[in-house]
Amino acid sequence: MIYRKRGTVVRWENGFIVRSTEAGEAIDNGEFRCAPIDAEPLTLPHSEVEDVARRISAMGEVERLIVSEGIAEHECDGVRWTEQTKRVHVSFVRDALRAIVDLADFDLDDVQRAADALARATHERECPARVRLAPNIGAALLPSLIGTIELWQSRADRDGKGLPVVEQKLTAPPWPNWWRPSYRTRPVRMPLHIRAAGHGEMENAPRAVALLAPVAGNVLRVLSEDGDVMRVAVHEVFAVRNTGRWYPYAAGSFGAELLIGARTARP
Amino acid sequence: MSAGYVFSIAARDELWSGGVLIESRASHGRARCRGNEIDAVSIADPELIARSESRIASLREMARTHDGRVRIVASSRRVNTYERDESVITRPSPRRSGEKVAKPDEGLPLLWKNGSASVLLHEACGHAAEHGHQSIWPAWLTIHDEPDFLIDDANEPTRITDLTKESPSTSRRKSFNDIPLKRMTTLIARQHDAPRSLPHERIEIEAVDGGAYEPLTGIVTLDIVVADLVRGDDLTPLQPFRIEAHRERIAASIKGAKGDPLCYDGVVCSREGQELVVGSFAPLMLTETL
Repeated sequence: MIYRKRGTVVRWENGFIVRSTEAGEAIDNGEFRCAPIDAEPLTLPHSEVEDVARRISAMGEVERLIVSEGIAEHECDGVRWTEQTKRVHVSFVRDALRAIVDLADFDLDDVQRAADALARATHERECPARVRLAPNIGAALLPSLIGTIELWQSRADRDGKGLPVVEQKLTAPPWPNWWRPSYRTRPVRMPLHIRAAGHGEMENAPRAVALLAPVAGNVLRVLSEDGDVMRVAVHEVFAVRNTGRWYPYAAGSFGAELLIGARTARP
Repeated sequence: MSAGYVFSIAARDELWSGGVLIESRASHGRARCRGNEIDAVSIADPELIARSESRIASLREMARTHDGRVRIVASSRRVNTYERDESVITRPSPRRSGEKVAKPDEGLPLLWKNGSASVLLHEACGHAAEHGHQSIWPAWLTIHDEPDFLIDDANEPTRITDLTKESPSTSRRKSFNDIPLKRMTTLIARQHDAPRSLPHERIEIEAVDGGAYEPLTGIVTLDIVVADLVRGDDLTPLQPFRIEAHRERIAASIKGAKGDPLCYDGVVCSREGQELVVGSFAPLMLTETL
């Protein structure tokens, strides 16, 4: 199998602007080989990354900020497709806390909410019995919930091998589609574009709006909108309210507000 | 950073297992850099490609004869007219069974063998220094970053830095589309008339699998993959275990050292998604329990 990719990315990374044009080829016949190839560059006519980076930088004390926008053309066994991507990764810090946000668009509401919550951050508190997770936190958690709640892979055009991404309930591997984030990465079977089946009624409960660490299994270290720091072990999902917003967690997941049963996770 | 320069690179990164090639990744490209702007394109430089391919060819000879997994990486780079090469071969230490360390340290002192103390110092002193975090180290111990090349990846002259007092001064980048970062190049720890008593009971550390430094808390994490519990002449293999300690605690725990710096091979350091080879040297070193 031969896979080729060419693309152009504009990236803001910690104060640098990088305009990168690249083309490469991967051949996988048991032995995986990849190398750059000559190809006509793709043009990205306009990029907002500098403006987005400036807006985010004004929101709080930034530890790390990467904003990128790109266009890529893929070809795999005669199938050709293109995609445009936007990504934001930011971590804000305050004292010993780090709030992290990942986005696949330039709507910065989640970022502002995280920065505001961090500015209000107080101390670690015991986790209440029920917690509401904002859609960005829910999206980060969904890949860890496979096998515990009803989750679906959403239909999409192409996967990392040029195959149509099929609509399928996610129960157990092997997953039907392939994830290939780069031509330099061997494709792996992964659930793509995960979404949860909506159910249940939302209730009033403390609302977590920012991750303080990457999700680890069913454990989240989060910041509530009131500034409470909580280490949450998820043991049940009572309600799910979906959004159509896609987040770059694992091989992609859709935002979902979740009402969860929680207990304090011990470090 | 200087006003403008051109950085070019060719590299190959291969994974071998049992003498068989599993994965091979070539890359090359050029970055035109001016101020904080980088225009990067994956254009080939035949001379650099030939140089890096020549270096990887010699590493392949070693990979072919190795039973386990081996990663080999070679690169050749040019900053304006200054050229240099890098290469590394990493062989993960096989995880072994042994006696479980209920509490990782058992309250015993740790003897860092084979230059493995350089990994401890890489995290507790080197990465801490990158964030401007300094600790109080024994007067008999020096910890320097000593680049073995003259011009760095941002076209600036390199110099030796004292990591106990200042941040690394050398800019490095993994590839043509990466931003230059101030990173360690070759950490060399030396002892100068250090205390050198050897406790009867101790844990001897042979190999470290990896480490991390958390700048927000100052906590260093090290995964010890090969170690033995030593009681006089008795030696008991230990299961892999983890050490977590604050950088200041580590600095205060260092009790002695002996001999010249020993090379701890194959240290590949990852920060901001950029993996770089860091030379690592330290003498036989003794710390209190951590």
